[in-house]
Amino acid sequence: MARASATAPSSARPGRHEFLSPEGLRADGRRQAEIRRFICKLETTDGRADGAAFVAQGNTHVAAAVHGPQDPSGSTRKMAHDRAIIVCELAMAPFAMGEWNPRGPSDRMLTEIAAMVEAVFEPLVLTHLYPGSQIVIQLRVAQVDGGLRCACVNAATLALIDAGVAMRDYACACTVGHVQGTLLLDVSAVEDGAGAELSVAYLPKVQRIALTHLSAAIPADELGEMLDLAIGGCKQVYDALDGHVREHMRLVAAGYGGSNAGF
Amino acid sequence: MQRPTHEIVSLSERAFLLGALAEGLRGDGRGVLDMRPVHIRLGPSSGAAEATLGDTRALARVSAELVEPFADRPTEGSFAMSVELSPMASGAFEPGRPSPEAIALSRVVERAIVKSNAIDLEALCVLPAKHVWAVRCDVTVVDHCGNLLDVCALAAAAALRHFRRPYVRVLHSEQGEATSVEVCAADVEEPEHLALRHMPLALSFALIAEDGFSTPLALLDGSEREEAIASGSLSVVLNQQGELCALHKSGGVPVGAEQIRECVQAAQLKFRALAKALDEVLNEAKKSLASSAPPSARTGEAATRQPPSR
Amino acid sequence: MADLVAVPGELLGRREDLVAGAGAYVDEDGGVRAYVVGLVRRTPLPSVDGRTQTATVCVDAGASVRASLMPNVGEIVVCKVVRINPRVANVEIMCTAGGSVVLHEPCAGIIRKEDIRQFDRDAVEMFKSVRPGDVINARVLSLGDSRSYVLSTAENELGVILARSVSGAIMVPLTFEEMQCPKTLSTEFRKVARIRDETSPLSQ
Repeated sequence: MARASATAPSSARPGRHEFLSPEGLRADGRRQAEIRRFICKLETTDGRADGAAFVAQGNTHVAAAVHGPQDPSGSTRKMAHDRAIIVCELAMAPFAMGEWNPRGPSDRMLTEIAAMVEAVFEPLVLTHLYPGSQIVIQLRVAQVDGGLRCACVNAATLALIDAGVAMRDYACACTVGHVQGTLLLDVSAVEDGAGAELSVAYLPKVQRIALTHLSAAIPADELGEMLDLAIGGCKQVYDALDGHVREHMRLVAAGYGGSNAGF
Repeated sequence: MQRPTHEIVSLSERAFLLGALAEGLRGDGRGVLDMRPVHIRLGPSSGAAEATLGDTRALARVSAELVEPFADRPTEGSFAMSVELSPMASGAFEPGRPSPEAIALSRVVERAIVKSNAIDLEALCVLPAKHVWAVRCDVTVVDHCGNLLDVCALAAAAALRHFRRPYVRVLHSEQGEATSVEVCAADVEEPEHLALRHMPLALSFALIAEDGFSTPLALLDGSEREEAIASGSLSVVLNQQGELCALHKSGGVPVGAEQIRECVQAAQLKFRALAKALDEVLNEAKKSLASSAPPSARTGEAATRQPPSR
Repeated sequence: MADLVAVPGELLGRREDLVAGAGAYVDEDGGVRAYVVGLVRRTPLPSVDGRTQTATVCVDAGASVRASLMPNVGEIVVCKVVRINPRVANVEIMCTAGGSVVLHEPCAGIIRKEDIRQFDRDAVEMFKSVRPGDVINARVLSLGDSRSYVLSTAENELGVILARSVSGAIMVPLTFEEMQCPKTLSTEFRKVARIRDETSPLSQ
């Protein structure tokens, strides 16, 4: 797991208008291809949800809860007889983006990201195993510092795994920024605002891309390099997610034997 | 993907389409990377355009209004876009609030235009902190036969490049300070085009995978039937400066990085033809404008040609 | 745990050698992959034609492991009191199976006032039996509703085993109804458990 290099001397950090210093360090001390501090936790709620997880990528914090497979509630118009439908509800705290902005459920950005999460997991979950049901993914965003779509996808992946929902693969997501001509992995909000951010969700086992989202324009011939860098970042995210899932599984299984599993 | 119940595809039709694709044939005989015929018509008033791709049709209307700028951006105008999926376009669309699909469409096109700085917002400033132009582009889809994003983007691009806003004269007091602005009628001063750095166009691929997960086939400019059996889509928005303004793959069946690169390359080739078609129509319109009588001689025509202003 | 743990998407084998059982699926290239997190179990199949040796691979989802950790009816559980009101005490169940299995994640339980003790059940004063923060032994009466188990402390061996006084010190049991704070020497009422421990002043 990559960590921000806190010991880099401030003189080696970039100046006010540059994002990558000549020594190769970014504003928070990271290198060009380092992801931010990645924290993930499984089973974080009091057990009322079937699966729950929390992901923190740098300062972007997203909590996810999964309910289901359950009987479809509300609009049965959406029910499918031969598979499960994925429903995503996304709520963002009014203080999440720095300026106080209470976003209602009909907010355009939240609607778009929720639809995106549904579309990412719809082919990924083996929906034909749960006909006529719905799987609800609830995402709660506490803080945003760039990479919101990616944190949502990562949190939803972990929560679905915790709920035991059948999935073909993990969906691991990471951003690449194109800022002042340089490519930076896992950009923060400041770096994103100064250039373009490409969010990519990658399936590490089947090695395919589930989501791409470009926030601003980039030179078309740099796309290949950005995709490669993003996939490398997604693989780093995958290592963190997978490591945590396996460790969690080990603890749960050990509890059965009678020793103190703890948490 | 939550498909509206209107687009139900029968099993036999699905099997037919998939079987034909396996042999490299599309429902209407096109090749995998062929677009449907493109028609662009510029409306009687400036800023109105209609674009069709095959039978899919969208109307775009650009208007501008003088407003007060945002407090934190006193020298910038604004641009907003909305896409309305009219119920006459498809039985799947209902009147009233925009559906998530409509919101997603408008956000993708708006983002591609705004975030790539296509419109020079500072050029929309008339009197800093007092008067700026707020430009709106309203797109209405009137016929849905597949590939709404490309048609909406094309109509919006045509309308924005065609649109001319009224000339604004800044009045100064005796001390030389700017006091107020006067919007001039079209027959007094020639309206001006928007300052556009470039104008992006979209090219979308329908991704067809038989079981919804295996490596899909990418079809450029999917028709309605193809989109109904598709498991995802990939939209590439490009401009003439070789920039990728948007790469929109919002979930759906996953594709390899290599396939994305191939789609982008195919889109770049097709972009030239699309941009050329648009340029031709706009040049035609410009010629016919230049050949008509000079501004001072216009009478009745001016009334219909003025865009709404305050 | 010597068994292999599989995560979603993990390649377990090829379609030619393995049959995908519960928890596994076949991808487009013919690989057999897991779709949940769990332990991999392979059961060899008798070879049909004498040549190929295949096995069925199942991924035993962690949920089933977790399910066996849930308290069963009749078991003694160790709980911590969360909230009380005159009728009901809400507790968090921390350990099951007599305290030998620590739950990975606590469950909710309730103890009604009639189930606090065996004698004089209606005149029970909750505040004099258990208080928030106490650790108690209780027996599971039923699985209750979706929210909480129904527990009882109406036996001699059940009740408060650890409590702190208002001054924060861990109290020492005096009788089966009272406990004393060693710091202030004041007594508080609790329904004390009879612990089978020679050093305890209560086990006579």
